[in-house]
Amino acid sequence: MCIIESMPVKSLITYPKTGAMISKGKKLDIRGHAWAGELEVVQMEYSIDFGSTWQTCPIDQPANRLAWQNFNASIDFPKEGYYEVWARATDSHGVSQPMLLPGWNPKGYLNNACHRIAVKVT
Amino acid sequence: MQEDYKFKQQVKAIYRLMGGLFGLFIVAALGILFLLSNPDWTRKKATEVEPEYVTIQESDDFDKIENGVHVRTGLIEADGLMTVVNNCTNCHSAKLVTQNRMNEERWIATIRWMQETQNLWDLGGNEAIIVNYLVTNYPPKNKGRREILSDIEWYELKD
Repeated sequence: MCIIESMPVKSLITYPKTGAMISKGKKLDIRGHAWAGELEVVQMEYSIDFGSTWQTCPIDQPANRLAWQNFNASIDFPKEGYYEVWARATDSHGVSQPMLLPGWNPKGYLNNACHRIAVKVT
Repeated sequence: MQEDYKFKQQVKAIYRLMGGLFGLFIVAALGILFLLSNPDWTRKKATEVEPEYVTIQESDDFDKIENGVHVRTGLIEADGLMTVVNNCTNCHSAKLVTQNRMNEERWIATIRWMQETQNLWDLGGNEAIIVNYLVTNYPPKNKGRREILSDIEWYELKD
């Protein structure tokens, strides 16, 4: 065990809620927040193919130092089916979020694994 | 003669003043006596209100168990459940228990910490029951990897 001295880079998709069903041909607008402890988030990416490819999306400057930063994206899905939208932020030291739970512990301290939502295109 | 008359006038004035003061004193004394005997005479007569008694239905499902879970706290139903409910949830939410997974050593260490710093009482014979309940129902789980998304509530996303 050790003392937590700093919060790792993390991001959340706050819209839409997981489980969204959309019809084919429609774009999905997502948005969310990212933060990086005492650092800044410099890059925001999302993936709809379980991490095989990543698309960058706009991330706002923080309103002030240490503030959350907003991101948004408009996503096209190539065909019908089950998708997961994963979000990944990168901090100003070039460190980004892991996909697996890092250092698993019962209360989830320092869990900064990529947030993901399930989407179904019908 | 003049002097004599003036003196008489002054005596009369003092006499009248004394009389007046005495009268006032009598009136005040009577007033105070009246107040002493009826201290509530200025107060409005309060209308007597009959106290209403409401019988509260003793609910039978206070400690209801549903699907093997104690509904009120969310704790798993097992040996020692009520001992845990009575000793732990007095001070903190049962969530503080159910969100944790620990082995015997760590559960005991947590109890010791609560006793040393949070005024938890000596659990006596209940300690073994509580620790046994916790270790049996909330043991550490080996899950380091990420599970697939499950229990998704699908909904139609409208603009």
